[in-house]
Amino acid sequence: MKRMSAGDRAVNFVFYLFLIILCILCAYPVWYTLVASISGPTYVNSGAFILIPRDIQFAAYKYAFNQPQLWRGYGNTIMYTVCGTMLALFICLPAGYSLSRKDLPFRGLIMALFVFTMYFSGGLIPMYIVCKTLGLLNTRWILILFGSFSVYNIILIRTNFQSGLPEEMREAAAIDGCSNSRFFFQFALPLSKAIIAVISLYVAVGYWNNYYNALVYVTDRDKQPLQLYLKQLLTVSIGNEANGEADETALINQLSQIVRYAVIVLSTIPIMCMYPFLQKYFVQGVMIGSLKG
Amino acid sequence: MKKLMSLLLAVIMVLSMGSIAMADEPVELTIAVIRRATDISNSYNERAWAKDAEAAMNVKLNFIELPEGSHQEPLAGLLSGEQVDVYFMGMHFSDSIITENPGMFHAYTLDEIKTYCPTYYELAEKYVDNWQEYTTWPDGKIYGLMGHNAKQATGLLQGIQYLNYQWLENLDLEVPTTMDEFYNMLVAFRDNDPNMNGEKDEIPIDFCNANYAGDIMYFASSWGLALGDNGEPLYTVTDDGHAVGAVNTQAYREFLEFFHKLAQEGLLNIEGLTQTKEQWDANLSAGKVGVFWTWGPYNNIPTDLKLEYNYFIPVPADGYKTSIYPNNPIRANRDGWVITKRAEEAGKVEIAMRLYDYWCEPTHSLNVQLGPEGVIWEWLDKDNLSYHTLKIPNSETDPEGYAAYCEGMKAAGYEHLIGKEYSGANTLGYQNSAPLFVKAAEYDMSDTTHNTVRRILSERAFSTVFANRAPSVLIPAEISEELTFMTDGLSDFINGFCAESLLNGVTDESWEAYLTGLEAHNYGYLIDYYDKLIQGTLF
Repeated sequence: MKRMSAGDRAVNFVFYLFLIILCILCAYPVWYTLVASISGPTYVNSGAFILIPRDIQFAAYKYAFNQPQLWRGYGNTIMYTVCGTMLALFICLPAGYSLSRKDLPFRGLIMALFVFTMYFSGGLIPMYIVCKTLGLLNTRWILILFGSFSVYNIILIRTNFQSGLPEEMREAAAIDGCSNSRFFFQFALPLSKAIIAVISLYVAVGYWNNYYNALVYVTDRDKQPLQLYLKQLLTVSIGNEANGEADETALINQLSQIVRYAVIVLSTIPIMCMYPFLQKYFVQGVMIGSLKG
Repeated sequence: MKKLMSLLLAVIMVLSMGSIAMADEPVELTIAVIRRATDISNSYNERAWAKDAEAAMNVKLNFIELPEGSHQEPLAGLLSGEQVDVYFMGMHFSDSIITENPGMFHAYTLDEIKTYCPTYYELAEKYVDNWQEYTTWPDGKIYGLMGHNAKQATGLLQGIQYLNYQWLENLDLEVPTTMDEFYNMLVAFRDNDPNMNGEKDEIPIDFCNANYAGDIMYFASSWGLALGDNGEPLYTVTDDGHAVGAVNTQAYREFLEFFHKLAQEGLLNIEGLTQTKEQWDANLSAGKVGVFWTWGPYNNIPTDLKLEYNYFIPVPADGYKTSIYPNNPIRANRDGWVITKRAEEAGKVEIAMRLYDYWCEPTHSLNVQLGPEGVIWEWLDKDNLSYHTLKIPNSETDPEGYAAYCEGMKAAGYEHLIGKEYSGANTLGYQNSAPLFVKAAEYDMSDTTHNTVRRILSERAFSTVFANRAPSVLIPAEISEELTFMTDGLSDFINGFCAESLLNGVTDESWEAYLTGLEAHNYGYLIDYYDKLIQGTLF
């Protein structure tokens, strides 16, 4: 085994130091959020540095669990994420594969039209009017359809198929009588697990985090996702100061900060649970996007 | 002939049956409302007061609930999509929406108001001075019916100064009446451990610029400057009805220099410039603070520690007279009930107005505003519109009362809220955007531990030092836009200099540079604008 020179060791040391600092910078906010959600509100509100929980209590979680909107939002978000991700894969995978085939008629024109839509959009009001005209306002479909078609993802998939599937394999399969659809389902998809995992993760996280579409297009609380509820908690003071009847106003205000942390933790758990299962494919597939064109 | 008569009879019968069917068909109204994030009660479509109105007025109500604090984007969509018949959003529906888009809304005539809203008209005439002028837009039309309390027991001003009287007692000090006594009191708070915990952790004065009622600018009232949150209104109204500068005066400089001195000596928590409300509340709740401005200590301190504080009228600085800026005495919002062109074109104006008038009847108004009668509130003297709110009985100390409360909640359709934590009017009612009501709850004024009683007593005391205020009238859009354009950055500049002065003090050079900066930011234009507004010559 080749021994490292002093210069290599020094460089490695710098790299490791940099990565450790970066890791702390990324991990500490997550740790702080978790610790603050189970600490006493006095310590959290005073802005004191917290590394370990102080005055451990679960009042914030108790308050959060008491909110039906939280659980309703949770269920809605899971549904939108699962359905939206499946729809996105259903749309983007065949589109990407088709565009990877050199024998697709008008391939260049289709790609140009797709890319054209990435340069600008009509804006909020025209989009709202279009959705209203289509009867999509205040429906679950609008939260599933938005985000399912992504030209960026299609380009990633197209590039993966172009670089990962040899043309000779397709020709050999065609000689043996394999149809296009059979090749897609029995050859292309099984060999593209990495890109499928990556696209699934990108899309799923996008659906999970999205609140803006629900804010604008969905007014029915029963259909609103968790992130919209979280946004409202983060932006609105929980206690009403002008209401002198509310003896619990100050208490609620005191809890408001740690309640926000508790809801952040609760809304992040599913995504954090998904990552270990997809990490293997994520590491393989994250570089796919670097080979475009 | 017989055949002709039979045919005529059949036609009449068909027409009358058709009209009966049409008359039975309830008119559907789509109403945009605001919902608080922590409201855990049922949908507005299921509220008891909504169901009651549907039955009484033969309407079908469809509420579109917009989230409070995040309602601007969906509101923009609703306005562009023309989906709503009525905006019932009160303080959350800005005057400027109507000012900039008058063509989107129905203009009420006085005859319509008298005919379709007799209750509203009677209340407005009797209790709201100059209500027609107040609700008339610059183009001479009325686009909204008033909502919320026209006059109420609290809300005459924003922040109130509070002093820890227990600390005075602990240190055997008198209530200060001069600025020197006030200063000596602060020094004693800092040095003599008034909270008696053996630690030197006292903060004689704390403030929070992040909170509308805790801003440092309120302290300028001791120098005759009626300033508030962010320094607003930035000017002074003289007794002879003119607007003059406030933040460019010697008095303002003296205020800054005095508080810089307090900060230097550890008598003022300079962190107030940047601390969050939660951090501020943490200091207050820990029993560390001697003097502060706030809406009420109950908003900051959840324990009985709040009872150690009581209102304290700011002592005047030498040569000055204390002056506090009052709120608009008309507390109602102009945009309580705004009908759209869509409803006008569909012929729904009359039913929409009659519906609002139904809710303006005092009992109905309180049901909408607070929650069900007999459960959340009850009349003391209905003829004089005197009522009070009811506390939720304790299930252990008052089991019968608690049982009655549960029955009342079930009957009103709020069974799912029994045993849950909720904030009365903000969950069961529609407090901040309710129909017009003109009197607030009566309180047992002998109960000086009651939050609202303490606030009422505070406001009555502070009303003795109220400053003059400019009239509250609607300004044409182009004129208010010009003011915004011309004074862009002015408020930030003023607050920035205030912060810098508290930290570093004021020198002749910095003061001159500040005055030059004020002119550069068109402070003179702002003074001239409000002077014309007060004189009635602005437009």
